[in-house]
Amino acid sequence: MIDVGYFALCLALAMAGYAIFASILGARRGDEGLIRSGENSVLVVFGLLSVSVGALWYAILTHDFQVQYVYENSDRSMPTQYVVASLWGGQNGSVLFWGWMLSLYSVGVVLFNRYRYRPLMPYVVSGLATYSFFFCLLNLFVADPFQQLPFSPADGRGLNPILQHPYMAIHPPMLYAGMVGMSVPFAFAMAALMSGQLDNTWLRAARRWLLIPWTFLGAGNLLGGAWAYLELGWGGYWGWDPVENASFMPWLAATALLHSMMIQERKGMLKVWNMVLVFFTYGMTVFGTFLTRSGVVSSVHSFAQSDLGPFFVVFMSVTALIAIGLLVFRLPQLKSENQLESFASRETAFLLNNWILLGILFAVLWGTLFPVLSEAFTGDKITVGAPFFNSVITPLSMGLLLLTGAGPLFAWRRTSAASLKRDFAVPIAATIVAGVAAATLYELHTYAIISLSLCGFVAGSVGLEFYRAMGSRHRSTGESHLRALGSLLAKSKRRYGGYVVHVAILLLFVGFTGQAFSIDKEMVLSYGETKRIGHYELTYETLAHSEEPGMSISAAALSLHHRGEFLCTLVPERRFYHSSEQNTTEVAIYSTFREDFYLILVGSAEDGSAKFQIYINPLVNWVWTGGILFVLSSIWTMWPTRRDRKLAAADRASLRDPAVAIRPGSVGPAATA
Amino acid sequence: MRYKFVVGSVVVAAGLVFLLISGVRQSSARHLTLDMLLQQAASSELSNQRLQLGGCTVVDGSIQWDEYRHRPEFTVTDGERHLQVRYTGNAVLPDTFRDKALVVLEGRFTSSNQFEADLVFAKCPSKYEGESYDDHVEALKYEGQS
Repeated sequence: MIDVGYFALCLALAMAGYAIFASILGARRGDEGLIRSGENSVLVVFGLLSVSVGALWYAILTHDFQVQYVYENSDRSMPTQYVVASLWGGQNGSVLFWGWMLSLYSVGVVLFNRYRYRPLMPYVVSGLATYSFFFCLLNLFVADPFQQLPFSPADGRGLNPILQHPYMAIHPPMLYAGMVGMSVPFAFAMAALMSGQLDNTWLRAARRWLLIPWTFLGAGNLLGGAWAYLELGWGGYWGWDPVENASFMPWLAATALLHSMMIQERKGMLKVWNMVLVFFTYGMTVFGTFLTRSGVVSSVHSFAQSDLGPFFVVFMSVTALIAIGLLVFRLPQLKSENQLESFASRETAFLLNNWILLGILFAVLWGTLFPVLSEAFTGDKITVGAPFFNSVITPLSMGLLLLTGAGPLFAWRRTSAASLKRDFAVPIAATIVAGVAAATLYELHTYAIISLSLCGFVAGSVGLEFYRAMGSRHRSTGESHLRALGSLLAKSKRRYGGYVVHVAILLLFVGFTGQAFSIDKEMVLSYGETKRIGHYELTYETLAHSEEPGMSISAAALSLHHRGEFLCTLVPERRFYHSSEQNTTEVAIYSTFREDFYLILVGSAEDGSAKFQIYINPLVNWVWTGGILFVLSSIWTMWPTRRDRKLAAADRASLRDPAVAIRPGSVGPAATA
Repeated sequence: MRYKFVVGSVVVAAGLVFLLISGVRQSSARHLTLDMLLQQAASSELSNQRLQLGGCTVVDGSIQWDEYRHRPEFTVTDGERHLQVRYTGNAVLPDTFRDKALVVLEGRFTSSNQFEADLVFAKCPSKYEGESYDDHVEALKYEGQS
């Protein structure tokens, strides 16, 4: 069975190679048959890689420990859902899974664009097939998941119990989907450069394919944070570790791109900049993968210092050279069609947004690579920690929040002083209300109050946009206000869905701000003792030890009161897993929208007294709420509208006629649109 | 018109540079390996610097927890040299901290040749890490024969 997987992988490599060849040749000759053949072989690659993944999954589920990967990443005692997840739990399996996801994206691109973007498609297909080819190579030569041991062990080494958590099972595939999916917009950009069709077509095609991985990356990072918060017991959800940064940087670049795209679509400006941003977004995903798997920077997260590093370096350099070369070659055709007319305009807000997002990205990159850079230049390896990132990124993100609120208030082209005065009144009032509320509810902390005030500003500005649009729709169509809101969200998804995404970001920022005034305390309590922490009273009721299959558990029970009123019983635990000799901390959390009461059982003494660590983390729930809204609103925004479907149908109809399918000469690099 | 954008970008860039420099000043640690640390301990003054010590593992059986299993003392080694460490931080040590774990420590080197760590990172004990794979295969082969 396992040989079938390996064999399918070899065939996939060959098919991917053929797809590159057929697509490019087909495009050069204008040979529709070859182009289709290239597209179809991408479908075959997907089929073959599915067989490969299926074979590995089969080996994992049937506990075939003779397969090295199965032996290293699973064991018989693991619950089935985590056995399933061990497909991507280790390095080699995750590389295979990654390649499979890429082929799934490629299938999507091919099937959705059978009759659309024809001049671009052969180059898109060849680009994606090149990336697939690279992953097949990695799997065959440096990260072979099908390698077999010379004997069959009785049981595997299993998965660390800390990682056996539902969030941890789905967080990696989400990040992979996000990282790998960024290759699609990149492929469209490269296709535009190669084919010479340099108008906004590629942008329109790439936008949705950018939104999908962008959403996955955002969701994956948030899930990772949620896991860290619930499982790791340090009271936080983001530690600025290189591995976290690696998946955050492409998200930042993609966010910048999502905004600057709009300027090109509306005004025909920033064409070169958008190309650079696509390169950068994709480059960050490859670089991030390289960073986490090469051991260049040390990280809390474990990835092998594997042999993948050099392959990535070569792949990155070659890709970058080709991309930059093509861009320089096409520069004369990427001239801006318009000039910025006024400083006080929507365009400026977008431009500033791009600068700040890239500023944040640069800061994250700087901090991540600082040990490497400082060693190269001074000989001393200097590392920077979370305080660095917080102190640099907090002020920058305040600027970003300000722009999120101010942007929609500026008109395209230019904005008059009078309209600014009128439009800013409501948001500024909201700013003041939020600032005063923050100052009274929580202790005074400069950044926190600025941040929450700015959140109020964003809320005011988005609210005003919705209110006005609802009003004018109500007047023009006679719909009720609520119904008008519904039709706005349904009909102008891009605009109003986008505003809802802004609301999600605003909720996230409210949550992040809470970190500024979190409290941590440790205390020793004996049975029946009560202590006050903030406005809570905590009573230590009892401690119990028990033996469960595979683990020993110590659990403490404590009751939590607020000004004499009973809130809940908290049961923090310490577990010891026998097979892996691993201790785990199970935190207990009492959570409200105001704050989380986060309780850890540190340890207990002979006399039954126990030590507890307590974090009072304000506003954490806003992060999770914002995260859920982020995912929902992003999906809503990218979901095709009726107009999109009509356009697609029209494209299909016009191209179904084989006579006009592809005009020879319209696709070669020589043909410049 | 154009100069406003130039001024704007210069302001953003200058702000960023300022933030980066002041940020690095605020929180940076010199990364050393154990042999570098011990070498420099003899010759120069390390005690007023914030240090990050990498590439060490916890000596098997050296962890001595306090009464409530909170702040341990332990010994780290790079295979040849040893160093006594005292944990002084507040946070509960990560679950991955245990005998033989690969650790990165942040803190100070005291005059009594001890490392006072207030941050301890212990690597996620993932499978393709820790003891080398070959050791395992060797052990298993042995198991299979006997």
